Amino acid sequence: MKIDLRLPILFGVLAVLTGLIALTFEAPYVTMSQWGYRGTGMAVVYNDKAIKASEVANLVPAAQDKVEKSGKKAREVYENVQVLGDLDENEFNRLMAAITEWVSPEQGCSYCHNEEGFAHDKMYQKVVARSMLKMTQDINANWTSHVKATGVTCYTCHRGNNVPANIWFNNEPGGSMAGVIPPKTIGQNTPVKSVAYSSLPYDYGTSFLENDAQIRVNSETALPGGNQTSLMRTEHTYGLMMHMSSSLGVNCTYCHNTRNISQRENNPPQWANAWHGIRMVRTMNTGYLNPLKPVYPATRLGALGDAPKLNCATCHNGAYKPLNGTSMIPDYPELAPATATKVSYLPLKTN
Amino acid sequence: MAYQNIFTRVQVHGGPDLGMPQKPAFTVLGQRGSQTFDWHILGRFGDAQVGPFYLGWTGVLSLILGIFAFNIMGMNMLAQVNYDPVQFIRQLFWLSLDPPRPEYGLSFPPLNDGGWYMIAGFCLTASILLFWLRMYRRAIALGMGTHIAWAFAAAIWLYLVLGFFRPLAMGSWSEAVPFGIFPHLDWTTAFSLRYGNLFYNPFHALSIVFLYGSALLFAMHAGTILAVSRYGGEREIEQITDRGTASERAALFWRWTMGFNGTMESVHRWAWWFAVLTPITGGIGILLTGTVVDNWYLWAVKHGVAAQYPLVFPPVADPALAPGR
Amino acid sequence: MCIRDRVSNVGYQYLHFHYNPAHMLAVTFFFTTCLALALHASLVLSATNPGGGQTVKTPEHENTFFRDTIGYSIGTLGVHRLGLLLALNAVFWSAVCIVISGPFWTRGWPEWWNWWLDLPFWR
Repeated sequence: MKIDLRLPILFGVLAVLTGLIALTFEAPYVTMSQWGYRGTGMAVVYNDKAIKASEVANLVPAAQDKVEKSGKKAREVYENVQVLGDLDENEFNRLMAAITEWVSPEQGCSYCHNEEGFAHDKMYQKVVARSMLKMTQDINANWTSHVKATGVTCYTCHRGNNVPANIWFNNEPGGSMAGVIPPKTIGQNTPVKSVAYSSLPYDYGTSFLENDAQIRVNSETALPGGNQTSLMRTEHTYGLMMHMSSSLGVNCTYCHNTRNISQRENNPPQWANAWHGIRMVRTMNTGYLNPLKPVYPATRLGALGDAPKLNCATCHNGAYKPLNGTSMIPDYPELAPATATKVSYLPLKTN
Repeated sequence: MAYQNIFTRVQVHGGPDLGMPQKPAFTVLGQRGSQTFDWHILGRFGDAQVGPFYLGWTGVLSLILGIFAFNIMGMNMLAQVNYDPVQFIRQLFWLSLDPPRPEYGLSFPPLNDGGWYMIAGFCLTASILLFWLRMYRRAIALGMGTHIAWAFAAAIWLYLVLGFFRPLAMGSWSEAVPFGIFPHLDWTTAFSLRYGNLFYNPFHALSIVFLYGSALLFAMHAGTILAVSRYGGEREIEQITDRGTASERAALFWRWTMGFNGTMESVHRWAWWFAVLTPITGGIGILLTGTVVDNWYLWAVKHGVAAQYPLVFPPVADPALAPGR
Repeated sequence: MCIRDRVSNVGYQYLHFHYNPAHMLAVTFFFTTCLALALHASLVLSATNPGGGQTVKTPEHENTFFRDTIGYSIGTLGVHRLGLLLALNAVFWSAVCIVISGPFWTRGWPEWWNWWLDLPFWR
């Protein structure tokens, strides 16, 4: 008796295909919790395995051993100490050791200091590091609107790397597309991490995180009242929002109730915090990072010759708070003085 | 399990069906072809015969313009990946031919900055309109009503609103929809984000009602016909002019289960209106957005149809309004 | 009103719900169902309501119309099989698209497409 194999073969093929497709999804270990009013669908959605991985990835390195003060200030012992001069000598050295671990664990001290002497500024990395120290203190003293008391250290961005994993340049898609598409093209329609792999514009950074272009696009009135914002401009804002979501590992409803995405009154507090974060990023990029451009060698610059800049992902690295909210300041209070020079945001002259 | 009449078990292949006689034509364009072939696997589901095809001048022009538009879109996408064929396939869904930027308004932009989009859009529109003419004329030539052409016109209404009427009313070609898989989805979301959540647009809601209703109706109607196919229910024209037991059983089924029924003809009228009203109301909703209404959520609040929720979070002041940021 | 807000927010939980592949399938099936319904209803009505005092036409006319215009006519039985298939797929993939959102995917939906982008031979 002949068995008709066509149907079993068809089912077999379908089963294999379904199995392959199933591999592209996540296993159903999900935590979902209500975020806003019941029934609105505002919720935080987390994959349990990803949470565990995030905990591991955001571990803070053990603090350097505490040292006894020597009684002498760093500027009395060493030459050319411009930022940390008031620190005790031993605390100064302790901080230097920590910075080495955070930024150049493989190259050690010689990443910034050269053979002629630790005081020399010949290496560009030392000049950059000095500026970064000022930036760190500025953030911790003057931007508590965003970083609160948790604050940041070099490790928050660098995480043991010479260059932070997530930086950006003008008009560059970055990531796996670097080099595949020349920078001066249409600025969208390519799947890169910075726009969470959508085809939205990837150069929102230039508009919103360097310049102070208007992010809000909605009208305040039901009927037309002069709002000329185009759909293309809206897509730029959307690209920025995709970046913020993926940088923090959260979804849109973390800050918004999308029924009325431009509302303010009933928003989660994270929304206002993010507002300050954007201003902080702009100020840091224009006040500290862009001015470093003449210091860098050409290999460190972008394809358009611009200095590397930071965005949300630079600090957050995929976590809702950098390092999952762990503060390193109690171990390194010198990085969060009560007052520090505050750099103000200066709008760029070009568009 | 009993046979459900989903797939044909036994196919009968006679000679090719060359169609109803047509008027003699002056040119080869006006003639129906005579090439047919039978595709067995097709015959398990529908009719096995493919062809003959009627060329016609509207058809040929439509095809040429359509292929031209398609090629322009493809070449521009290829240019975006530096003519790398592998990356073209890999990134295909993300690529697109984009409309001009807003600063050009309604003027014709440079080729590489939206000009190709305008040309492709124009050719595609011409192709679609010519195809409409083709549908209209073939119906007349066969002595049939022009219902298909008017249904097609409803779809063309939506297409023209999205790509022509609304950009014109807004004073900018940049408002038009990009030609790309994911990019046109980005356009859709950006549209809703910009105009205060399109779910609050009543014509959007109506269009959805008719879209879901069309799916419901086709499932109901098709299921009914297949259920009475043992009585020849799929022979709808004969059932309309000479009601048989198939129509009667179908009508009674619905009368008993939901309390009322249509007839073999009226169900097609229900279907026609639901399917045709989907793009008509959708087009109206799109056209009103940005021109007459700038924020649909606020419009709904103004007209008292937006529910209010209790405060869950502590009140948040707008940081942009705080003094001395 | 609440349901619309919920639909909107559940969509944005995944940053850009349109990239959900099952949602894309479902939407395609919905629009195709609408198209097919319009064509089928129009065809039947055009044959039975030819206008202008003409006689009612036959299924052979229906077949000829679609073979002339697009080269293929699926037939009176086939169109109902097709319609049922399209409509049921529309609903089925809609259900799938929402069940997988959350239980089987927690990130933004555009990111799901990385399996395609990261295939080893063209990464």
